[in-house]
Amino acid sequence: MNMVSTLSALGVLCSLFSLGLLIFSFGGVFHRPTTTLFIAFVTLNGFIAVSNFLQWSGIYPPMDRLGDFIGTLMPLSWAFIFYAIIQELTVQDLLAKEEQYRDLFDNAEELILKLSPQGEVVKSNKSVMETLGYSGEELTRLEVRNLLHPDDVGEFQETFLRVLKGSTEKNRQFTLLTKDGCQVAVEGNLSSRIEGNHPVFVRCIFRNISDRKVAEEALRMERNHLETITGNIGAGLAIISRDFRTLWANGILKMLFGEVEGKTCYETYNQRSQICPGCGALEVFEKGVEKAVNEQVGTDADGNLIWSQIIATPIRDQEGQVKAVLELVVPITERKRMEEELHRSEHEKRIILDSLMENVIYTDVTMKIVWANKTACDSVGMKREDVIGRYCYTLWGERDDPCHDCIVLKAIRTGRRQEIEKETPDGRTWLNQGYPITDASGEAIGGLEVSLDITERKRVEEELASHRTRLEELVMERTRQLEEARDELVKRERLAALGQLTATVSHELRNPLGVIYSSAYYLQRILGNSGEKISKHLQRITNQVMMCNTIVDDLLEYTRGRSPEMFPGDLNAALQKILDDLASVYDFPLIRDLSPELPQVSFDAGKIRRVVTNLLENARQALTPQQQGDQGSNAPHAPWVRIATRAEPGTVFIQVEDNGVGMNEETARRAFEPLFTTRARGTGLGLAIVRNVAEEHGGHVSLESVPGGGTRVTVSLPAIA
Amino acid sequence: MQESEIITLVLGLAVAALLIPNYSQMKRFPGSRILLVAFLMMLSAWAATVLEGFFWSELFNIVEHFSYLLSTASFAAWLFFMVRRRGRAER
Repeated sequence: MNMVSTLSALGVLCSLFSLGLLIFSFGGVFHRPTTTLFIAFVTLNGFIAVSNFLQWSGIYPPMDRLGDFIGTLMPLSWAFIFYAIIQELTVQDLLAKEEQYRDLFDNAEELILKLSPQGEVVKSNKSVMETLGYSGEELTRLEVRNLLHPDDVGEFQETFLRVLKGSTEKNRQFTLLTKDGCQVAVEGNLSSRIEGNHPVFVRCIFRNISDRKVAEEALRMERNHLETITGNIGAGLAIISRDFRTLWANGILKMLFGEVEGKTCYETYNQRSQICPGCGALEVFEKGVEKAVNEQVGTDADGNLIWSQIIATPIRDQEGQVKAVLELVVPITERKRMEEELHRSEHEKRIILDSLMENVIYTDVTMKIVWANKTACDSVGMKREDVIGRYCYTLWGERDDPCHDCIVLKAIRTGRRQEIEKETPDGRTWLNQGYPITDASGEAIGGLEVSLDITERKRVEEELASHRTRLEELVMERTRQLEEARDELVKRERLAALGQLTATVSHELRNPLGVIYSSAYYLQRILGNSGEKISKHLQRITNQVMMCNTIVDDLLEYTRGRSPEMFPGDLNAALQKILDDLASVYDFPLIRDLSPELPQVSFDAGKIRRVVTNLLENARQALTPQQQGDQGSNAPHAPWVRIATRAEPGTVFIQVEDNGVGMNEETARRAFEPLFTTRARGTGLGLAIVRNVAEEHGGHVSLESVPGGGTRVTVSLPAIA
Repeated sequence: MQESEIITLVLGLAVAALLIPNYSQMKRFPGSRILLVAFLMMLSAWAATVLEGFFWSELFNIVEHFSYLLSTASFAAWLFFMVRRRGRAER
């Protein structure tokens, strides 16, 4: 055996070995077609080795030709080998992918069902089994409607029919029933595989959304709670994203602005096309501040102007990055309106206060000026902003501490209004009023001082008071005059009536008195020597008749009188004659003190006689009690009556003075009243007649009397120039 | 030298030419190098068959059959490798 045959024999053995391996592992290592191909290849290869062995060993040389022929096929065999190996690789890849998909199918969390066009389960994954509690065998060929909640069967059938026609149904929700009857909410897509216009199967890929449903329900309830809570906080609440869109808004914002979620905040809330100036959310996003507050104005869904205060705070993720902004939108429209109203009101009040003439100063409890009106500021020549913050006593008192009589401090202490009038060194008078200012709890928080320069007012008041006093005096004087006139009128009326009566009576009495006097005179002459007693009584009758005549004369003189017949003459001479005539009538000395330089006077001699007679009669009456009183005393009283005349330019005075009992003040005041008398038998007409005569002569009469010291009556008559 | 030997060599080279672009894919197959050696030994046997007709006929004849043996042995070794690998994988 040569070397070649030996190599061939070894080749045969190797081929047999290979053939044995292939047969032994048929279908185990390679796929069967590949294994068959390998067997054929090994067989051919072994046949060549056998033919070579037979040729070169000399056993059967003709095998050489057959070997050559088969050898020609060997490149093709190798080509098949390589092809088979590539196919094997392809199959392995497919199997590997199939395994991956199968793993994906079996281990997918989704519920995957493959249904026949008749609605039977053809295939299902592990998730379906685990979720519904069925085994794979139980599910296979089970009608899908048995897995559905009865309420969903109708809807599923409609969906299923549409899918069989080629439609793809997405995100459909159904409720499945587990083997033990529990409900499982699923959501997913349904599609079909169509081959040649015929549906082959229907794919159902569902997600178990039971937990999501529960979570959604819980979320819905939480959202409702949140809506309820945020809807009752009285303010809007919104979450704003980085692109300034509203991610969420509470009910109040929706009520005010309509549906806002998903829209940009500056468009919905403020009707702007760009981010609002001063936007708090922008500040939070860009600067990272923890809180940004601003005020914005916009219009609500009805077009009403609405003011909002927006408080923006960041919403951060776990890394601290600002992901969104929480905006608290507080409606402040009403507040703004009130602020505007308040501002307007304050403006008006300021105008009013500035228009006042009074200094109005509002201070705190330390007398630091909080506000002052224009008049107050002008009084110190400063602007309001310069006055505010300073102490009032430094500006107006020029001191370093509060004034000791500060009425504002007193008002703050007492809690009541205080008022004081104060004079300043420049002589002006100020009326200062202090009012306490309290807070809602009654605690004093400051004081108000209102000061008014009342110098002019005081002057006017004083003038008015003076005028009033004078007026009152005039009124009193006038009233007194009117009362006197009234009394005089009453008196005159009374006297007129009385005069009429007394004139008649006196006239009628005068004749009988004349007869009595004549008869008494006759009897005196006849019986004058018959006895002292008869003579005394006759004299008494004569005296009484004369007294009655005097009374009748007085009455007639005062009530009826007569117009004076005045002639210029020497008054002293007339008085001398009268006194001479009367000297024998009175038993007291008549002291004559007649002025020799008396000017001429125009007078009625008869009426002057009447005056002198009446005054002397009054003097006699005043002296009589003195004479009687002196009888019991050791010191003799020397009664006297002094008649004097004197002259002053344009006037002549007649004075009758006595040292009798005098008069008290009341008697002296009423002495000239007609019918006023202090004597039992007096008519009360003597001095009244004296005054009438004096006044008829254009003169006056006055009386001076000292009780116990005498009386002096002065009659003034106009002298002839 | 026979015409069939030349045809075989040409076909073998053609197969080699086809193998080259697919070799990267082939390399994924386990023991592909052993298989490639088996093919190359077979190709060298075909070449030696042609060459022995021109010179050194004795030498190339021995090379030819030695290459046949190596090719057959390599293929057997490759099969053995695959079977044993499968067995390990199953274990």
